Amino acid sequence: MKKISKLLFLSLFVLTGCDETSSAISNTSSPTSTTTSTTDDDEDTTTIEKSEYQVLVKDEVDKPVTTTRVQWCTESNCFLPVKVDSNGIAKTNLDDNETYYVHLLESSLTETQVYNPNELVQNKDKRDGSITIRTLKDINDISSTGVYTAEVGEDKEVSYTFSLPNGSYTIESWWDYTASSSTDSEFNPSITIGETSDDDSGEGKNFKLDFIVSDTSVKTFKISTNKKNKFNFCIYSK
Amino acid sequence: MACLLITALVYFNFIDTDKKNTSHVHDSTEENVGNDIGNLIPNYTLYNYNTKENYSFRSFKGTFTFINFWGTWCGPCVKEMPEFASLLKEYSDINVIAIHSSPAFTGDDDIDAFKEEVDTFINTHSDGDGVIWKDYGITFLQDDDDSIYKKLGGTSIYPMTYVLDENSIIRRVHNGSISLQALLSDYESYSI
Repeated sequence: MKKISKLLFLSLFVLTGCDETSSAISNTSSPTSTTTSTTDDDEDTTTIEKSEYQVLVKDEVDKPVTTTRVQWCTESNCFLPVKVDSNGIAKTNLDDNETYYVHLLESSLTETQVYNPNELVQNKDKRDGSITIRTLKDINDISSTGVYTAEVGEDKEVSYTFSLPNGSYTIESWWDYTASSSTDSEFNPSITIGETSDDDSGEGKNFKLDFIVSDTSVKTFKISTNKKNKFNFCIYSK
Repeated sequence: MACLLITALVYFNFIDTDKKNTSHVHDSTEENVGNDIGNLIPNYTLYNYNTKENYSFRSFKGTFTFINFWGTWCGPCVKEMPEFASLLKEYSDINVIAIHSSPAFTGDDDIDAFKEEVDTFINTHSDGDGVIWKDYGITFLQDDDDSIYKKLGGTSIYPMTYVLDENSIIRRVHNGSISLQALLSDYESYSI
């Protein structure tokens, strides 16, 4: 019965003419020609031309680190992390019309492996770059350059004493604003050493301050924030 | 004659012209299962962080649903989640499923360690009004590695969001972050 009704249906099509039928089919199938994956503005993502981007992950003595994963993120999305090869290099193909914030997948790092999350930004003019993994140092012994973790409690202020050799230094926080949630983006750390403070108060961004250590200089610095938080900072020779 | 042949092929289902059917589908059979627009989403069962039990995709049939693929490792995904919370404040009858992918997970790893990390994140992370993510009303599931993401057609972009009507038919797929406005627009456009 079903077959008979189908044959009758076909006969009807023949009798009524093909032009109209073709049109009906065309109209029905038309929406399938668009890609199933769309952006908010319905652009067809399959037409994007891509170029190769690559990152070298190395340690403080420029030796490749082969155990991490690199992730490329834009303002609105991240791509699946790419494992580095035996030379510490991760490669991927990306759209040249974007800016990419390059990170290392946290779970591919040990607890003492840290890097500057703001170190590498890539775009069509800079498709190569490197990220340096450093070893986190003990905050209770700030006697050399390196990366330390500041932990600011409910009182939103913490002081640390240091014993750096005499010289010129820079201290900067490594908060990652591109990877943080909306409220974390309001995070605003600042630093004071003696009479000198960073001058970005009121804006949510990392502090950076040059200072000189001498026999007579202050040997403490104070970190103030607008909320309880834990983050890394780096001290390096100027 | 050629026209007749095409017509016959279409009618006898040799050519699928209904891949992106925008009409309301009420067929509850599993014949139309797939990951394209117009398909009934396949039935997967994943670990539910809220109940600590397994959760079947068929559980949300009858409810307008957003399925969001995210990761704690994906900044834009983390930034986007409060948009879903805002949506649920306005429309509590909408279902939001947030599936976490752990791309670093391999079969040899201890999946419980990965789950613990995510569980801690959604139990401690809050935005704006201090409400922790687990209390958003979102159902948090775990895609151990990223296999369900890939089976559903995910290539490499996170977040990715599926829009399903009340019959669990896929109506739209968003790659990248979406705003509350876009979510509301989808609900108005595709809700039956």
